[in-house]
Amino acid sequence: MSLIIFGLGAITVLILWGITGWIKRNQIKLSWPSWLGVILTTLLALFTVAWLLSCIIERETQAAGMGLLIFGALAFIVFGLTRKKIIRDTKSQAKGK
Amino acid sequence: MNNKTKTAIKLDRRQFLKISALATTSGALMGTSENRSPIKITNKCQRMDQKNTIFSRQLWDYEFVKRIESSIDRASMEALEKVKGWTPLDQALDAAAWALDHKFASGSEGGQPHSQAYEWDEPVRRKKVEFQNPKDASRKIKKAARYLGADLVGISPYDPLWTYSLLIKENFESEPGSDGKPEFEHFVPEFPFEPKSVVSIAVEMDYETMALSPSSLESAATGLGYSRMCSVGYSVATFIRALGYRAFANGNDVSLSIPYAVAAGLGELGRHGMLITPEYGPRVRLVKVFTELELKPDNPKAFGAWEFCKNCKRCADACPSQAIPTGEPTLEGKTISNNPGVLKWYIDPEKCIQFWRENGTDCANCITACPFNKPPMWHHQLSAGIVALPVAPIHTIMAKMDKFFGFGDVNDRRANAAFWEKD
Ligand code: SF4
Ligand code: SF4
Repeated sequence: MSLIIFGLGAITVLILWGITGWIKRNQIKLSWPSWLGVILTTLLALFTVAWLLSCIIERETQAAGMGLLIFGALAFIVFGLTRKKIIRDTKSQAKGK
Repeated sequence: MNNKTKTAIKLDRRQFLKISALATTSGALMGTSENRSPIKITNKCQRMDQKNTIFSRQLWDYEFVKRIESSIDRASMEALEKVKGWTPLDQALDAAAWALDHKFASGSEGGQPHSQAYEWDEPVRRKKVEFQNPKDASRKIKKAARYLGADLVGISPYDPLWTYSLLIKENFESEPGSDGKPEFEHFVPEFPFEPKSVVSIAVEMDYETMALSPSSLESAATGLGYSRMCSVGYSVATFIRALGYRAFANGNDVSLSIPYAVAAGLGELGRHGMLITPEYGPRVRLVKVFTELELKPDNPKAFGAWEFCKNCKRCADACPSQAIPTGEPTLEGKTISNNPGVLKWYIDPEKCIQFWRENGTDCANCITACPFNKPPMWHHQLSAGIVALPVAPIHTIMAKMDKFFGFGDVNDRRANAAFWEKD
């Protein structure tokens, strides 16, 4: 269990590091809905991974699969919407410049 | 009163009696008479005669025993040895898990009061250890109980309503009569002291083997629970006696267990007639210690289980004998082993025990299928938090999701076969 917590912490750091680096490099200013999307996607992705690993530890394979399907799909949908919103944000910022 | 009577017929004691938790509750009540319970108790609720509990009926209810015996198919019982979960290897584990209980508490397992590890009058230290106050005493007793192996421990005042009005005990010393039937005593309980407090102890049963219900491997989980009950119960009673206060442990004998556990804040009553704890769900066994030591009682704790049960019927669906009701809570059950007067779901212990006999071992489908039966992992604790919300549609969705995710599956032959392959 402590390994899972360590792993999740490491993934969180990597995701946030990646996002902030990408924002800085491209000089993008994210709107609050985009930030919300980023945070939600991160949380859902982390939840999916944590669920998956915990179910594997418990040997509950069906629960692991169903969790991956449902929570993973949810994370993917939120990610898609957020991505769309960020692209729109960057486009409107480029126009403004 | 000491009323000796001949018994009619004797069932296979172990098989017949492992039903304790179910029988206790099905024959029983809920809450305590001092308004400490979240459950409604009416005037119709009286002290129960132990003779009517499902496990004690084997001593005298000839018709009932005959009916159950007649449903056993001996040929298929012999063939069972080839089925995964009932192989000689599985049965050996079952026997080993029950061994301590059979050695030191086989009487109580079958409802025999005042026997072996659960005797009432063990020696007590002469000089009493003084405590600052009942709160201080409670804290120390609980600390010791956890040290001695209790997974959950709570305290409530002694309430005579939950002690059987009459006890029943098979008289092993007397010679059987000419008809070969043993004798039993039927008597008013007279303890060597006036109990003031009850220490309720829950011991967890193994998750992995419990999930293999119904089989010998699942029976091993139950057996290990019984063995731990007698070890922890006897140890805690000994601790209190070593402090200079009279105390004795009791399991399936003497009194009901669940009303005390609810009053002590260990959990809530479920549709399947068992205690549901927030930590382990119904996957626990209960033992209690009666003592003359005055202890500070805990408060009952509702965490949403009773409300959840109204919208979840997984135990009823998983029950092979349709012994668990699917409707609303009522004030009485259908058999003499149900004690009326408490608003709850009354299971049918006769149907339940009949299935046990047909099955060749016991059954714990209702424990396994219950969505509260989970190991203590973060994601289950999160679900428990959601379940605690008093919103009926959420309960219905959560109960469906639990099944959808594959939790609480029963009759899983493949899992039984895989048991010995896993490290
Ligand atoms: S599932 Fe039914 S038959 Fe099995 S123990 Fe529970 S009540 Fe009895
Ligand atoms: S299975 Fe559902 S209805 Fe039955 S006791 Fe558990 S929560 Fe209640």
